[in-house]
Amino acid sequence: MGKMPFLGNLTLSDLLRLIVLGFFIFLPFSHNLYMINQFSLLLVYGMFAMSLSLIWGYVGLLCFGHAVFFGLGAYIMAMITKGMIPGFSGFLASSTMGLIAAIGFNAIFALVLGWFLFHGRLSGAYLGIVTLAISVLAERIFISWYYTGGYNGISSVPALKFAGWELINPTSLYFFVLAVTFLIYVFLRRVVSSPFGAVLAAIKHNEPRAESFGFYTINYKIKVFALGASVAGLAGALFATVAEFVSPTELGFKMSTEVLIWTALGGREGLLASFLGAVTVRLLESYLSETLAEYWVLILGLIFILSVVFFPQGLFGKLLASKTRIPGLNPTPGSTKKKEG
Amino acid sequence: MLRKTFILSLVIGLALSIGVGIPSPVSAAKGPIKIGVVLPLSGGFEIYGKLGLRGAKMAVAEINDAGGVLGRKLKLVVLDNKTDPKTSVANMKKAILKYHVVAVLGPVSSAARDAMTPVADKYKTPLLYGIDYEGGVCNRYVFLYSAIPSHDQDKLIPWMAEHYGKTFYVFGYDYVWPHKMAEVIKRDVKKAGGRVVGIEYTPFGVKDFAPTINKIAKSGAKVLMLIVPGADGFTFIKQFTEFGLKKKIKIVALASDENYLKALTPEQSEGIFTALPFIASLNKPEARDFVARQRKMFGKDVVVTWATCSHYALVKLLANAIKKVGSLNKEKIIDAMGDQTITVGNGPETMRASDHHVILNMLIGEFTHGKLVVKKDLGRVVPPDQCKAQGKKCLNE
Repeated sequence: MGKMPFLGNLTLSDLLRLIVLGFFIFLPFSHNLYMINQFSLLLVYGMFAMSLSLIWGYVGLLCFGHAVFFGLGAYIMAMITKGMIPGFSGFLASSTMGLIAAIGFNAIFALVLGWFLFHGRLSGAYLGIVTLAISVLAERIFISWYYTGGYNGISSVPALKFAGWELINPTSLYFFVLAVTFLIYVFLRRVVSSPFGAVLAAIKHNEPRAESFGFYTINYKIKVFALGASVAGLAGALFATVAEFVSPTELGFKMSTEVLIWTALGGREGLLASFLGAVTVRLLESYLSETLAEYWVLILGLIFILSVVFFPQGLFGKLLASKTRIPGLNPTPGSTKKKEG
Repeated sequence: MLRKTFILSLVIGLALSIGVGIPSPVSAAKGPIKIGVVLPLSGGFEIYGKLGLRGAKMAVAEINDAGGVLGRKLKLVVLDNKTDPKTSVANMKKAILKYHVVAVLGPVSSAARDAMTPVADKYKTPLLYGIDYEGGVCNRYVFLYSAIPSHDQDKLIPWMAEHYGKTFYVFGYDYVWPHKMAEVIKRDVKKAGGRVVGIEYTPFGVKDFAPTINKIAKSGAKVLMLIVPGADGFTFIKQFTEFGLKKKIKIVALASDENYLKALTPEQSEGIFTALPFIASLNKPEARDFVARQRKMFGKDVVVTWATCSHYALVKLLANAIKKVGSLNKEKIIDAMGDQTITVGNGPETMRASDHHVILNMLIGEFTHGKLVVKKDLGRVVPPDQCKAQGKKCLNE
């Protein structure tokens, strides 16, 4: 038991986390190629939702154009690995470089953008409108930009390749994406529970008060905005290789609103809740759009309204924030030790 | 106790993953032969998608009534692509990996087709496309039952220049297909001794076209080449009519068909021209029969257009190829798809094995008095080989 100290405080939400982890680890053993393919993409969407949850749920920055970072990451990955950037060849055109550039470019872009947005003291709906405008603008640019295929986008994005090892097999690709998603989840959890995260929570609840305690909140907001953008960029880069395809819709209005819905529906104040929101909505869409065709959007709208009214914390938000211990399964730490001994 | 819980939750996860992941029992040998349909049923191009779907449904019903293929029924697996390339790719993979379809029918936009082509390559599954496009595809896994510029614009533009004037204005959507068509138009107009006096592109969803219409009015153009199909095109034509320009300037509306009669009043659609391989009012026995069968199946008000015919034909060609091969071997089916001749709504049409494009019988149509009528029968049009035209090897070599 000593090897698993974190189990000393097993709560309902911990149990749920384990179930989710178990689900994703065991899924490929079903050997259902379609499911493995689909869930690789769902993991990517889930990671994207987590990145929005970080800046919207944990800091209260309503970013209505979050798909810009996702789409840019996807385009950067596609262009680099397809050798479409002049002068980039060899290592500079590798998957590793693609991932680094997708993260790096987004971080720098978001730092610059954040500097203007937050020094301009934009917040709430105004921030939402400006970021939305940026997203629509980016979509227009990529539609008109013929080098990147215009409206048609870029297809046949190569598979991930690390030091000669190519992730062509859907199962190995799945496990790679799962590992990255898991690491990002652990990393973001550490961020939000760190002292830095405590300041973020303070900003969310009352920014002037956080400022009056001596925290220069603008810098915190810029930093977390850049972090969220980088994670979204990483998700986008993985999207490009999993879907083997990028188009302007990935950085536009539609995708931006979709990720907001996933995050809100799952529970924006929890990373895993947002992740599950994305997975649930996409799964529902996949099944319902087949049986209900275009009416499925109505169902989604209905679910969204009901969830806002009855589960303001999202479908999974409350469950995952629950600190309830499972009766009977949690002996006091003392008694555990005795048993071990 | 806790270790038990840990194991228990992993086991629950395992159980869930098996529940979700386990493939539905595939009775591959006995069930119906599945054909994927990835057409837009929402998102902008749904009018074309629904036309194609009705054609495919009728072909399947007729084949099944006649005993099916290899003693099995055909079944369509219909997946909406929402006019979106990303969804098209996802749904094509779904059709292939989940439903094990023998071929995929669709999509409508060139953007979606280009996105789906690598999927057809990767999973070695034929993609059957039945919408007019800009030409130039040369791929073993893609069959195009389409009118390309050699069929339509190359014939229509000289005819328009001869009858209505040699000055042309091009107005199109700002994406790949209209840009490519504009190149074709420029070339054809030059060949006809005419002049393109203006080219303009518009984003999706514009509602006020007054500035563009003013420019067109002042340009001295006699013919307007309109490459804005669908809802925005209707908005444009309505405003164009309100400006009273219809008498001075004729419109060639690319991708226009019988649908325009539903969306526009007779006054608005008056004087629009188009070139099509099939027009529902065509006075030929096979055309009358095709329209009658559609009406019997879908009601007397159903719109029947070229897109209905092309998707019907693709399913028929596929069924014939499967019969010839005697199995569901996709590579062999592809080899058997080519060089088949079929009569659907307007004379015999041939799917060439060399470039997977079709020899079609073409018509010039005019919208007049609330009807789309045949203005001129151009007869059989043999397009240049699309593989050779690009210096590629023919597909049957």
